[in-house]
Order: sequence, then structure tokens, then C-alpha cells
Amino acid sequence: MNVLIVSGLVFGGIYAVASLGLVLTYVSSRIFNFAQGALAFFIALLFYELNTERGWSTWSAALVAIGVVAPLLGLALWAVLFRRLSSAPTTVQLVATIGLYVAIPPIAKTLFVADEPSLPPGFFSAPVPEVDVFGVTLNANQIAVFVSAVVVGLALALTLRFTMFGLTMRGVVDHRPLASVMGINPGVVTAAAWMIGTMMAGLAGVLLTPVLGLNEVSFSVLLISSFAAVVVGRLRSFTWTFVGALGLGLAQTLVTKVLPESGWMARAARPSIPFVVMILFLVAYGLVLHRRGGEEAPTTALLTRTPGTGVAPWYARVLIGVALVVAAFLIPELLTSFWLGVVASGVAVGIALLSLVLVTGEGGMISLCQISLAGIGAMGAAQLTEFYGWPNIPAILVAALAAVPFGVLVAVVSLRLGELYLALATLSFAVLADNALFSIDRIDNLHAGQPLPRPSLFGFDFDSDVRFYFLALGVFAVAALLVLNVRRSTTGLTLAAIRSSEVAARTIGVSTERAKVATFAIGAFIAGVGGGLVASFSGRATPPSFNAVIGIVWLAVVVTWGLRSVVGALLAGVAFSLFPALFSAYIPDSYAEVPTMLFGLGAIIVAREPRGIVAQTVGHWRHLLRLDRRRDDNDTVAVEPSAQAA
Amino acid sequence: MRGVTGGRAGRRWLPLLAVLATVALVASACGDDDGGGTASEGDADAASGSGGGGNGECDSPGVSDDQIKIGQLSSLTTPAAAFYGLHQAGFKARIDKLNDDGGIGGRQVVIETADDAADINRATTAARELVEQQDVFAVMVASSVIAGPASYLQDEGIPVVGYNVNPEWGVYDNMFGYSGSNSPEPVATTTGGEFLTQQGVERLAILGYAQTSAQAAAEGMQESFEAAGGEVVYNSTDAPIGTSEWTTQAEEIASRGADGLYLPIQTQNALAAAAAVRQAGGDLKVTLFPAGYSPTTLEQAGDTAEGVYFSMDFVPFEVQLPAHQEMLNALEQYAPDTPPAQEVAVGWIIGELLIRGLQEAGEECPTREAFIENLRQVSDFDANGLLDPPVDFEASFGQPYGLCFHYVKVEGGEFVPVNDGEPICGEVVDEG
Repeated sequence: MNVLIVSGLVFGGIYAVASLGLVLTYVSSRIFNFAQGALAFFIALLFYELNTERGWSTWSAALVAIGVVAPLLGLALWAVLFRRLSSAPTTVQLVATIGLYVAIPPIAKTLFVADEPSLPPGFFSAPVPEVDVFGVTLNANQIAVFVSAVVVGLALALTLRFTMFGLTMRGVVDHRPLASVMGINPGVVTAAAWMIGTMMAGLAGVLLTPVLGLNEVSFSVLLISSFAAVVVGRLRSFTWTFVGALGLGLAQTLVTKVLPESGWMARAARPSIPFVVMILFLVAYGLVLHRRGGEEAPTTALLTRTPGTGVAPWYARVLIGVALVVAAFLIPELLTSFWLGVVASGVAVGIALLSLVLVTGEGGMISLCQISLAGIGAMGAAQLTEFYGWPNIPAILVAALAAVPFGVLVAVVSLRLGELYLALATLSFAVLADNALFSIDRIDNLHAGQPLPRPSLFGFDFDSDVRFYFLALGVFAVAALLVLNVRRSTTGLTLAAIRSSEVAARTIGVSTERAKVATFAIGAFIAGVGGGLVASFSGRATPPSFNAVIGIVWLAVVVTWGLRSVVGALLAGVAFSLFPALFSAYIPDSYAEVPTMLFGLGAIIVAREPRGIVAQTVGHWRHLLRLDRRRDDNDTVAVEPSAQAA
Repeated sequence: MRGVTGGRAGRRWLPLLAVLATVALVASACGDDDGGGTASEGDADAASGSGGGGNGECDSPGVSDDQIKIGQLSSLTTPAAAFYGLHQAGFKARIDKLNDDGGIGGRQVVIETADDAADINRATTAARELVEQQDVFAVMVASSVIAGPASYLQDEGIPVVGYNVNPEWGVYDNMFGYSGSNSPEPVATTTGGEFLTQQGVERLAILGYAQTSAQAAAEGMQESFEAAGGEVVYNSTDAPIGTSEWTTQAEEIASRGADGLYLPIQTQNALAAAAAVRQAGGDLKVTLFPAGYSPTTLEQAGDTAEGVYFSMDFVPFEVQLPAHQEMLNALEQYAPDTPPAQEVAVGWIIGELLIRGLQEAGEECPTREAFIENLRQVSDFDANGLLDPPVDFEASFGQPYGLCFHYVKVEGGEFVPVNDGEPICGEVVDEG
């Protein structure tokens, strides 16, 4: 029992260090750093590189990694990215930090050790010294966690309360303009907060290394778990965040006492706890905030500017349409079967990404759980074909319908939440789907999933890559028309009104709830169909392909190519499939991480040009060719989206 | 506002360039499909194409006048790489030595690697890339995620050699495991259970990863140990791959009074698990690792490895056969940084098996059909003595992995063979 408490406090202590850093950066800059875990991974890998690979002493490696590189990294990120984003809408800030989250681990793995080390040392390497405390054996790495958590917690509390810097920071947090008038430079305070926050991320990373190893996925999932502590502290209370972090760690280990030793419950319960807690708290906040009259009403998202800022003339659109159709038919002629297969599976991914165009692009709601809805479509279809002998196409359609209630559930739970809380809630749902739903034995089958054959319709098999390609394109076209029709429907207009101002929309009697739920429901169906096709292309529906972490990459990719454009979704899907295949075929293995890096960097760049590559390029060509005479400059028009939408 | 606009004008070119670059990348990829991926491949294709009228007259896929292309499908990234990367090193050393010794029938064996990132869907794509893009003659597989690629490679009639831990090795007749085959459904053997009870274990705990091969090993050991009259007090294979945090499991194992621990997980993590059980107050007579027999383990573990048993299915190095020396020399020459680890030896034996298959396939003009058909007839594959008893590919097809094991124990910081290095063999556990 005592051992379990020790283990729980170890996890809780690491959560505490990471989440306090997150709160610090949030209160000082109003930017929720999604990439906290990625920064922790970066610093931890750097520490490993210096300490183990280059043979530096533990303390010099720690000093350089956590004491020098981490604050410089924080300062650089603030100077280059976050300073510009401090007054940007929440959605844009989120997209930028999500881009960082995606891009940083591959950068770290390309810069430092390529191979994942097994059992990397932390502050103390094997043989780790052990001491007996109250009859429990503690090793030095565990003690390091306790000491760090206590020191960081106390230092923060004392600094904020008793030092000039703390006073300044509290002033900036309370009333930024007033602080400026008093001669305080808020930029300096914020920069310092980012430096300290990144140091704390790095410290958490090094503390976590001996516990979890240096696997980027388990690393980032664990640090995402610490978001729950931040939510408990309502993004501002250091005390409650600290308490929440320790409580989460303890709950996660003590629960094993009442769980069976193996099987689904044993696997699902422990990692799910933080996310269940997070959703419960978010729902409670949603209810309370609503009663108070919407304290954190969503801001108008820059992302949702209508691409119709100057609609291209009819002949240009016809020209583009014809070019796309010609390209679609030329591609099978130009590519070998292998590459056509890669493109076809990318088109299938594009279908699932259309759901993001609908929910996030049209609806203005950042959803990080579309991949789980796609997963429900894929794995549901595989269950129906494998265990009940259903034909493939009805199985995919019915499984996609089964995703709809899940989509509605997500929508209902998150209706009242502001953009940041919505992103956290949908992320929680995605992780819960991984941990609790996709881990069911007959679905997971030890990560091997279940077979899902390629479709056939009335005896016509879509088994070859060419046929599957055209099937996927056909389905994509239908789904794209659906999305475009939603845009033009009453629901679409309602969404446009909400994007402009939710409060104003409600005031004039528009039912915002119905529009949001409908959007999530249709999005869930589209995602489900896409997921089913993605899985049936490769022949298996496997949980790792629909992991929440990949869902974050999905958002980054689709944002890069244009969140408001159906063509953008298609190109994003193809890029998602094609880039890694191209790199694996033609570029040495050591650069295998580059595509993911580009996906993340793309999102960061787009945070500054929110309509994505397609919209931007089209706008630019239009500008070049003088097709667009109504608007002289697309880029400077960032306001009044509703005017064009209506 | 004007000023800002002017400043942004240059930046607006970036996305345009990105799109153009993408198009160019795709276009070049498509162009390469017909001409061969790289210059050297292009040359090879040209040689085989024009050489049709020359001395070769061999139009087998992947075979040119002076080369045979072999694909290697492994988990080379993710935590699984710590394991399968070592197979690659041993395999490559054997093939490098073969090429320096003149190759097979005057042809050099060229290895094209593909990474499956321990993901089933990636594995299928990787297998397709090897066969359809690289045009390889045969494929070496060292991976746990082979359900997808195995059926594809069977459909295409591709010979496969490799590490036979998954049931597919006992399902598809084009697949040849270095130590034989595997059973299509999990079947236990008496070997491990009898060995552990002989060492005095009465209450066994088993700890593994959520991974097909680990779970099969865990289930097999449970049945085996119970058949030998022991009691399995704990069996958990739910930990995600790569985990080294074992506190909660160790607490349970210690509190249930286990006196033996079987750890079908990566060595470093297995050592961490054994240490965690000790930290929780457990008292273990025997700790058995089915992997990790390597000088690296001794180096890194120090005293903590003392008394640990390792099992392997080839003759341990301490027996010092000429084949051991040959392998050590080759490692020194071709892979100087690679320790003679268990997985490296397995990779080496997979190399031996590939060579044997290529010899059987007809040295003049090897064909895939002959490879598969003739290697299946081989009944005495012993990898120059490293495999004892030798493998009979016909008789062993569909038989479980690990009917015979060799065991070593760590004593005084060295590996000491148990049973004088002779194998300990069992039989299939009688289900009745």
C-alpha cells in the first residue's frame, strides 16, 4: 500500500511541476500552451543526449538543458510566436500551440538521439541509490520528484506573494493596461513567465524520463493528463492545480487496488481517470458559467473568415472544377499501383477531414475528437463484418451512424464551453475513446485490430487500388457536397451568425444549440464513413491508427491546407498519406520524422494566415490575375465575416 | 495598415511555393516509378533488361546478372526498435560476409530496408513498397505486426524468412522461421514449466506487455507451469509497450508471495520490473528472461542481474563452437559496435536461413517458387551447428515455437550454461 502511495505521489509530483508551469504561462499571457508536453520531451531528450550519449556529468547536463536551453527556448518561442499571438483569438492561439505540439518531438528526434533509448536514466542512473523511509524503499529518482514538486510549488507561491517580480506579475495578470500605465513592461513579465514555464516543462520531462522512458507518445499522453490538474485549478489557481495534480496521481495508482489484474478494466481505468475528471469539471464550469451569463463567451475566430471575400467569377470556378476532374482521372494513368494506393488512402483520410472542415471550419468549434469518431466508424464496421458477417458497405454506413450519438454527446457536453475548454473537452473524449472504448479486447485484439475487407457493391469489388481510388473519390465528392449544402442551409447561416457573435445571435432568437448539435452529428457521420474507408483500404481497423495524438496531427494538417475549404480537406488527406510514404521511399530513414515536423510547422505558419495554403494561394493567384476586382487585398480584411456570409 | 500589407507581400509567396514544391515532389516521385528509384537501381534494371540475351537469361523479380534484391521489413523506430534493430544488425553482418565471400551464384545480395514503425497498417504499406516499388525477390521479416503483410506476401508468392514469434509463421507456407515455425493457435509446451519447477519455483508471477508475442508467451508459460504442477499467482500483460514503471504490479506480485518471475519483455524494462518487485519486498528464487542474453545486459545491470536466468533457442556462446567464432569475427569486421546479443545471433541465423533458401532456389536463376518449395523440403537446417536440434521445415510446420530451449544463469558476472549447454526439450502440453 505504501508503495502505491509513493508511486502515486511520483506521478502527482510530475503532474504538479508540469501543470504549474502551464498555469504560470497561461495567467501571464492568456495562451494555453498545448505544447507543454512536447517542450518537456524536447528538454528530456536533450538531457539524455548530453548526459548519456555525450557523457556529460548529470549535473552539467541538467544545468545546460533545464537551466540554459529551456529558458532560451521559452524566450525564443515567446519572441517569435506567442508575443504576436497574445491578442489573437483563442482558436488561433490553440492552433499555433497545437502546431508546436506536433512539430517539436520530431525536431527533437532529428536533432538528438534517433533511436528510442530503453530505460534512459533520470537525475540518477543505475544503480539508483535507495533509502528506507518509514519502512518504504524510495529510490533517488523518486525523491527527486518529491523535492522538485515541493520546491517549485513553494518557490512560485513565495515569489508571487513576497517579491517585486511577483507583485509586478500579479499586476500584469490583473489589469494589463493599468500595469502598463504604471510603467511596467508587460512584455518583460510575460517573457519571464514563458522562460520559467519552459524550465518547469523541462524539469518535468527529466523527472519523467526514468519513469516512462523517452517515448514521445506515452510522454505527451501523460503530460496531457496533467491538463486535468490545470482545469481543476480553473487555469489560474496555483494551489488548486497543485492539489489537483497530487490527487490525480494518487487516484491513478490507488485505483489499481480495486481493479482486476488484467483485462479491459485494468487497462482502461487508470489512464482514463484524468480525462473523466477533466470532463466533469468542464461540464460543471459550463453549467455555472452559463448561469452567470457566459463569462467566457467565445471570441470571434479569425479562422472562420469566409473564403467568399470576393467570390471568383463563374468561369474561373468552372475552370478550377474541370481541372480537378481532369486531374482525378489522370492520376491513375500516371501513378503505379503502389502510389495510387497511397493517394487513394489519402482521399479516404480526406473524407474524415471533411468533418473537421464542417465542425471546426464552419462551426468554429475546435474538435480534437473527430479521429475517434472516424475510429468508431472503422472499428464498428470491422466488428460487423468480422463477427456478424455483414457486407462491407452496409457495415461502414451503419457504423458511421453509430458514431452520430457519440458526436451528439460531445456536442451536448461542450455546448456551453468557450473555445479553449471545448478543445480540452474534445481532446478528453478522444483519449477516453482510446483508453476505454478502443481497448476492448475484441476491438483492440492486442493493437492488431480486426480485418475489414475492401468494399464490394452488388457483386462489383472495389478490391484493386484503381477501383478503390474512384470509390473514395466518389464518396468524397458526395460528402463534400453535403458539407457545402450545410454551409448554405439555415444551419450554415446560423453557424455564420454564431461565428460572428454568439451573444448577438442568441439575442435575436437564433437557436445556437440546435445548429451546433446538428453540425457535430453530421460531422460524426462523415468522419465515421471516412474512418471506415481508411481502415478498409489497408484491410484492418486498428486502434493505433485512430489514436488521439494522430487526431491532433489531423487538425494541424487540415488547418495548413485550409479549414474552410473542401478541396483543402482533400489535399490535406492526400498530403497526410503521401508525405510519409514519399519520405520513406526516397529519403534516408533518419529524416523519417520530417513530414510530421512539416505538418506542425504548417499549422504554426497558418496561425498567421488563418485560411490555409489553398485559400491563400487561390487568393494570391486571383490577385495576380486581377480576377478579383472587388477586393484589392485579401490579407488586410480580417473583420466582419458575417457581412459576406449573410 | 498599408505598411503591414507591404511587409506581408513577400510572405504571401510562401504558400504558393509550398504548393509548387509539393507538385514537383509528387511529379518527380511519379517519374521515378518507371525509371527506378535511384541511379543504381536504374542501372540494375537496365542490366537485367538488356542482359536478357546474355549469360543470365534470368527474369526472376529482383534478380539481375550481378544482384539479388532482398527486402527487410522490421520495426526500426518506436520502442520495438530496441529489439528488432538488433536482428537487423546480425542479419546484415551475415549478408555482408556472404557478399565479401563472393555472394550467391556470383550475385551480390542487396538489402532494401522498410520500417513498419510497429504499426500494422504501416507494415502492409511497407511490404507493398518492398515488393511493388523495390521489386525484391524475397523478404526478411523481424517484426511483431505481421498480420497484414503476411497475407499480402502469401498472395504475391514472396518467400519470407525471419523471426517466427507470431502465429502467421505456422499458417502461410511461404514463411520460414529461423527456428522453424509456430502454431496457428496458441499451444503451450512443457519446456519452460518443467525447467522452472526443477529450479524450485512453486508460485510463479508473469509480467508482459500488451503485445501479441508477449501475451502468447505469457499464456504459454502459465499453461506450461500449471502442467508441471506449479501455481501461477499473477499474470498480467496489459502494460503498454516500453513501460518501465512497474510499481503497482510489483506490489501485487510481492504481496501474493511469488517465488518465481517470468518476464517476456525487453531486457532493460525486465530488469526494472525485477528491481521493482524487490523494492516492494518480494523474495524471488528465480527470475527468467526469455530475451536479453547479451554482454550489454551484464554491463548495464551489474549486480542486479546476478542469479537471473535467460532462455534462448540457439546454442549459447559459452559453448564456443566454430560457428560462434565465425559470427563473432564477422561482427567485429562488419558491425564493430554491435554486441553479440541474443537478437543479433537470431538475426545472424536468419541470414544463414536466407542463404540456404537462395541456394535451394537454384543458383543459376533462383525463382521464388523454387525457394519456397525446396526450402520446405530441408530437414537439417542447423545454421552450422548454432541450432541444436536442427530444424525440419516440413515436420515442424505449424508446431509451436520453443519446444527446445537452452538456458544460462548469471553467476559471478558471467553467463554460465545450464545443463552443460545441452538443450532442454519438452513436448506440446496435453490439453486433456
